[in-house]
Amino acid sequence: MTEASRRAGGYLAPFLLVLATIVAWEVAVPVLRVAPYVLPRPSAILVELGRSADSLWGHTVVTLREILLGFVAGSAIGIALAIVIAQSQVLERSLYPIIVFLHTVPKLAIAPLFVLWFGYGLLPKVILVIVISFFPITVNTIYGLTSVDRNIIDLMRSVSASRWQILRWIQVPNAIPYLFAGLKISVTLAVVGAIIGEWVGTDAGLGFAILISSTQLRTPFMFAAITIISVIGVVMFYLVAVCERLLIPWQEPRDVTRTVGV
Amino acid sequence: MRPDESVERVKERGAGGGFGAAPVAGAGMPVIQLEDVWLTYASKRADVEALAGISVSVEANTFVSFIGPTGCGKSSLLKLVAGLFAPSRGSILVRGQRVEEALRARSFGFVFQDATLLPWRSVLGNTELLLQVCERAPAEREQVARRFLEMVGLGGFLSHYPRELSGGMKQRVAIARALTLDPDILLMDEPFAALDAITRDRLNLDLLRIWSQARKTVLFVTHSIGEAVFLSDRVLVMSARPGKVVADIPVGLPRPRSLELVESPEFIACARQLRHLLAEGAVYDGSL
Repeated sequence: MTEASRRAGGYLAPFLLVLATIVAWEVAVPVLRVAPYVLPRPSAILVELGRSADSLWGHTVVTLREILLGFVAGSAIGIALAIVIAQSQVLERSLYPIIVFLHTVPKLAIAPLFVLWFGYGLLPKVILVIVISFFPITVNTIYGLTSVDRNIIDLMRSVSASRWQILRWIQVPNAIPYLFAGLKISVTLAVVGAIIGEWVGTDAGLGFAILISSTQLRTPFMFAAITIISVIGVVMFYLVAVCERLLIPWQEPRDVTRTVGV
Repeated sequence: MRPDESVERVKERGAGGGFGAAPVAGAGMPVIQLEDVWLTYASKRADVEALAGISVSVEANTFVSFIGPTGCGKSSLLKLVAGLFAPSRGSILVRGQRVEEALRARSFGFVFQDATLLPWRSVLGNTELLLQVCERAPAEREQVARRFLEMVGLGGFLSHYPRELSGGMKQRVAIARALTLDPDILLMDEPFAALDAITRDRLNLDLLRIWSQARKTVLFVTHSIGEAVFLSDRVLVMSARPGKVVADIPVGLPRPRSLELVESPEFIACARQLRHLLAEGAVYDGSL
């Protein structure tokens, strides 16, 4: 088998699986007499996507903005925090518990608090996305910054390298693969964060659309919104994966499904 | 206390054994002077005594090997000499000055068992690293790095990445990198231990060739008796933990040395002597 046909075969199998699932769903709903407001057929969702395109697009823009702003800010904060914490054991011991605490607090529980503090606009959602997405980035980046071969550090110290030089030339490049592992987790969490933020208090966005349509039993509309959210998540995940490939050319090329972990 | 007692024993042994005399070649001030150096570090269970009363002085431009069982503190000794951490007791002088001075003067070149190359840098980039630390101009960096890469036989691999190199080639890059700042003292911690015998022989020969071109004081840690004899002017035999120098053997074999030397009676006699001493060292430690 040639390399090209082997690769094509690699993509064909998952595609067929998805297709088979959709077909099975399409057939099963009428056969099993499931009410459309419980589970609409894929074709009905597709029709709804077309019919409510305008309204859905408006909600999508709102949610996408929350996700992107929150994710970018969360990544920046996460990386900065990691660099600070990696500087000393004292900082690590004092800041790490606070970060873990922040992460373990249920986000749904603090979301109303953000509404109280920051109102109903964009800000509380962005903050929620930041809070939910910085943690995997920080934890992974700290690991990457500190898991440098002891001897390399000693080599640098043996020529009186400064802390900044060691950070810039050794620790940061060493952390990049770990950073990306964190980014991949965070980007999917960012989507969750935006939706939670919208559930607690807003009048726009895909989360809001789901909430409203569920009270009105507009299940196809709800599924349409869920589909868009999933697509956003998947696309963003793969965008991060592509950036990873471009930024880390020194790593051994791996099988894409393994890189991506699906 | 036990420590003092051990020092006495080492001294006794050195005198009684009749092999303790330091070679007089190259009179003048020793480059490296270790005076009764002790190293104890805390581990989970108890304090571990890594080095117990090491006193060694090394003349300029000599090739000195340390040989001994695993865990006898040989690697720690190199890092102590380079001032990467301080001894628990005793003094270390480099060119008559405190280690910190030598460190600031960038007197040390390090080569480890693992090549410790940066996977994100090319061969040239890796070799330029230490020059970059010293803020040399880019053009000069490249010129110096190229020169030493050619010296170690890697002139044709400048843009290769570490993952594309064999183990022996990686060590050659590490050696080139260590030479870039022209240090007086080369500290080599089992640099060829992970290589196959053929590659190792070739690197040993090349190391001697490089050493004859750019004369330096070399402290070379190894597990291999043959390697120690082949390379060195002097071999220091260490006992198992806590590490002590139990013998100081001058190797009088003529230079330049070639691989045929390994079959000469002088070489074999020297290797046999070391083998006995190593076996003895182990027993000696067991009797403590």
